[in-house]
Amino acid sequence: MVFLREGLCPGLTGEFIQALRAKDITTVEDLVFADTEELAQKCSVSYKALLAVRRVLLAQHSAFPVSGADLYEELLSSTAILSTGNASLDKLLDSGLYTGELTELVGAPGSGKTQVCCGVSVNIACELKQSVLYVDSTGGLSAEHLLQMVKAKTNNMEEQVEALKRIQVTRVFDIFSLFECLHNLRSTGIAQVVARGSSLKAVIVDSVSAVLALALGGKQTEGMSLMMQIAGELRTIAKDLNVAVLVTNHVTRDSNGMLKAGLGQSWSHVPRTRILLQRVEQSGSTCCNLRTATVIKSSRQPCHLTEEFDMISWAQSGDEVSGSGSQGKRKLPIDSPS
Amino acid sequence: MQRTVSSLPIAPPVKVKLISSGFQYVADLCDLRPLQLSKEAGISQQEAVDVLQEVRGKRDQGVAPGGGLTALELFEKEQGLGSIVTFCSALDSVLGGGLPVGKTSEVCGAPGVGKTQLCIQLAVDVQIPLCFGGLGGHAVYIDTEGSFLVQRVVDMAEAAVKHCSLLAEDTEQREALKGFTLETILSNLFLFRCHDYVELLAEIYLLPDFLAQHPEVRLVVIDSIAFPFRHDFEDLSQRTRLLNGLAQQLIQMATQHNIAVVLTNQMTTKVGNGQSKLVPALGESWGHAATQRLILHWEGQQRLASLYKSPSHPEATVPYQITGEGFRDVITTDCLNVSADSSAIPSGNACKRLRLEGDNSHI
Amino acid sequence: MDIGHLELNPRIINAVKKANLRSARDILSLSDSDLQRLTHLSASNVRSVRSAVALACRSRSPAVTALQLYRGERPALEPGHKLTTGCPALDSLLRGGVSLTGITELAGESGAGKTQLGLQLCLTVQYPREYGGLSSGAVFICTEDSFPIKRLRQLITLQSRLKADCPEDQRRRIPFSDNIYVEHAADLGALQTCISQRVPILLSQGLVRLVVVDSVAALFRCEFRPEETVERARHLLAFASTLHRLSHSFCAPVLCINQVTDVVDPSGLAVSNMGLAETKVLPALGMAWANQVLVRLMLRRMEGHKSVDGWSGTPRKLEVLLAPHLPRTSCLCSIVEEGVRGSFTPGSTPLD
Repeated sequence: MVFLREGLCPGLTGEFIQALRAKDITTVEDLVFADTEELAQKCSVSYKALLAVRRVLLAQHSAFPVSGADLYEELLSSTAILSTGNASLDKLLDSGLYTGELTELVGAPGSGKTQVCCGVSVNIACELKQSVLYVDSTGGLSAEHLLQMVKAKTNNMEEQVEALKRIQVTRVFDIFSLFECLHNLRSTGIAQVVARGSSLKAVIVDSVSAVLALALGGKQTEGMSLMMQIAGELRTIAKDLNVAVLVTNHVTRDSNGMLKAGLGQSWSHVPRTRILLQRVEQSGSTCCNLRTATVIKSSRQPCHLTEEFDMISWAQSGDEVSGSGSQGKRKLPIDSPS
Repeated sequence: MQRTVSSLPIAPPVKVKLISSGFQYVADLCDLRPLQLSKEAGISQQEAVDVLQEVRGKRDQGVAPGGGLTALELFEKEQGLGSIVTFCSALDSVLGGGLPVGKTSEVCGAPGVGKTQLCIQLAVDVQIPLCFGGLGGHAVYIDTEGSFLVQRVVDMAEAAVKHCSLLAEDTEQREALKGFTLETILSNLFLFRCHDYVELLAEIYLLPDFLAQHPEVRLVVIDSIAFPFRHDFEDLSQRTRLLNGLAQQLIQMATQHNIAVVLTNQMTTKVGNGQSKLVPALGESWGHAATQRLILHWEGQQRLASLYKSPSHPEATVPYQITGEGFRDVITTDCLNVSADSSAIPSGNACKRLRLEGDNSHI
Repeated sequence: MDIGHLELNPRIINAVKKANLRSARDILSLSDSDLQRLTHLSASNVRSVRSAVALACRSRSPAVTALQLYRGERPALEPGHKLTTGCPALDSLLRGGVSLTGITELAGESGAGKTQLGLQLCLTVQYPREYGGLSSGAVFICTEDSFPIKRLRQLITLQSRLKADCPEDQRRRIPFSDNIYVEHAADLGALQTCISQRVPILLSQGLVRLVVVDSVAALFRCEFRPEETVERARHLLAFASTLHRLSHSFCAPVLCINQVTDVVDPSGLAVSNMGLAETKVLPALGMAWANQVLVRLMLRRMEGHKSVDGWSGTPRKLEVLLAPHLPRTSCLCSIVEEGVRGSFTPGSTPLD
């Protein structure tokens, strides 16, 4: 629904709009659907001018058909698959995070969502040498931990510094600052976010539920609309900037006590791929660093595919991890073109 | 594509009116005068002024993505913040040098296991002077259970002062000790008592002002978050909403004012699959609230602390004990070694600090 | 709190009143956008409403430093003294006596002497402050048995032996039995009315400064079936919160006598047995109740031990199970004619 406003297209003057409004024509749709000849008579405006305006508006507002072949070409040339640095996760994600798509990690408290986000950003910054924007809304990101992970990958000081410089961190604590941040990124920010010699390849929002849960619930009717706008914004960013978007979400339990992802039905359509993280419960011990990851929504992999991995290995045993990282890279159909 | 009006933080009724009169994008509003806007959108002049302020504020702020910084800058900032020692070296090493400043931590445990003891210990330890490896900060203690007894603070403060005076080696440290006495410790510990959740909400809403007036505050303790929120609630979804809001406020406070926020939580019995187990209260979604979660529990006669959730440190369980002096390491059979070790906690921290600074300078 | 008295623009106050928001609870538990929707006020107006309400809430309990508490400058928050038990050994175990704010729980098997200690406190509370009392009466709520009036009479006549430090003429002036208000509560409803209506009146008139409930377990254990644990926990929390509020607003100690329960499955309860590996019994009512008490004491009979200091009868052990200001210690004691007396040696060995 686009309202008719002055300056929308040449020829659409203030008087013109006034005349149309008097006849209840306020939006572009109204104008397009109305019978042009009849309208010209009713509003006493020139038929030619009206037709011209209509044509321009139609051209401006209609979708442009793209052939499947072109789409595929574009896909091949622009999509990159970013390895997460963890062989198990790469397997679940069909070799990594795809740019232009939204991937979601869901899990209970302490299931390792933030750890995976850190691991992914470090892998992208360090191994793939690309930039990452990390939007932290839970205060859980610790740069010391990032450094620790980077150190596990490289011993070279210069490289460590460069890798950390490629991770841009933004902290937001409410939904409107998240809008602000995403909007800035989309309109102008990309040049600023990117460190020299690399391009922005991933945007991580940890956690999207922390800010959205505040707006939802209670008697607030607009929460849902804000949530869908965030979803739209994230999708647009993924497509327009051609980056991989990774978000985290919490879990709730349904009436049967089964785990399900938070934020409800409408949000469940937003991410293209959804991974559930769970800790492996071992009897007798409260602490455990083993996690399982399960695909619960994917367009590439069968659902309920489960892999087990160890949280500690990510930060410490550097050789093993970088080994799996390069293995992930080899599998890439197209390496990131930047 | 431009920024939509609906993503602005303005009142929902005004938003609806704006959108239905054709103002879809922020850019549409930029060049309007308040009077014009109020006429076109059918809103009051005051509302129009507010809307325009919001719009222009955004535009004038410029384009920097909301105070972003690189991980490297963040690392440097984090190193400057330090952490608060617990006086239990085993727990400190699990936490990576102590309780992190600038983050929120939750301490859960059954009654009597030592939650309040740990909180009081932290409120004393945060005040250890800089030259002893402490933070030299002040503490805010929000007591909702009525379990903050000044008698106990005196015990721990006296022990901490004695401990530091034994460690003092150079003149700088001896000088600093003059400002680290029972009196100063007590006067730098601010207590708020809240009797129900409404008072707690009010207090937390006003806390940023208090922190602005007292910039030395490095620790905020809420003991406990569960107590006021576990009764008087019929509507659990409202409770969840309030708690979520509280959590975001606290995280924001921790980051903006560089303070450590410590929350304590009770345990509750959960029956599932025919067996009962103890889990932290306030429901599962509350588990996301704090950055770190520490669970204190018993095993036989031994008190144990488990780091259950941490984004940056591996999970681990360590023993501790509560003595007359406060929260301490468990002294194992190797008495000599450990007692020397435990007496060296603050200085050990100082060493650690130096090492970290060294690290920092050569990357 | 009256919205009309807040320091705000009358236009804003009217808008708030019109939206039917009457209490601080209403305003503080709504989000900013809900408040805007209900009051039709601008964002900045809503923020000022919120701060004004929050300030009004805080004025009841402003920030104090621990030093002010330590020096006794805020007697309402930290009374600085305690209620004596009447026995120096027990007082030293409790670091001065029973805490004036918060719930003190005394658990023990039947016949351990819980009620005796309750009665004793009902008497010591009547002494003037310099003798460890609060110069006020006590309310004794019975839920199990009838009030042990005979034993009370005996205790009153033997007060000179228990509180020898108080001069005789002072003691004579205290009308001990007139200052003890006995309430009987046969079911939960009666108990709730008692503590939410009659007890506050007694407290506010200054007639009493001590509340003894003997026992909390009886009603909560018999009125709920095992499967109603959630319902029971809810009632228990409401009950505890009422007592908690009474204790803090009148600075009056609350003693709750509790029964014990057998440890059924020691392995399953390993996490909640409070570090008492060797014990076979635990205080009743579970975790929901345990979270609410400030100090938890346990009184046990020491069968098979010989009596202490020549006192007659089975010796008892009073143990501190949890308290924020006390170490885990215990003290041997005995029930004698004039009341419960502890001994300094040799039982006071720290457990931890």
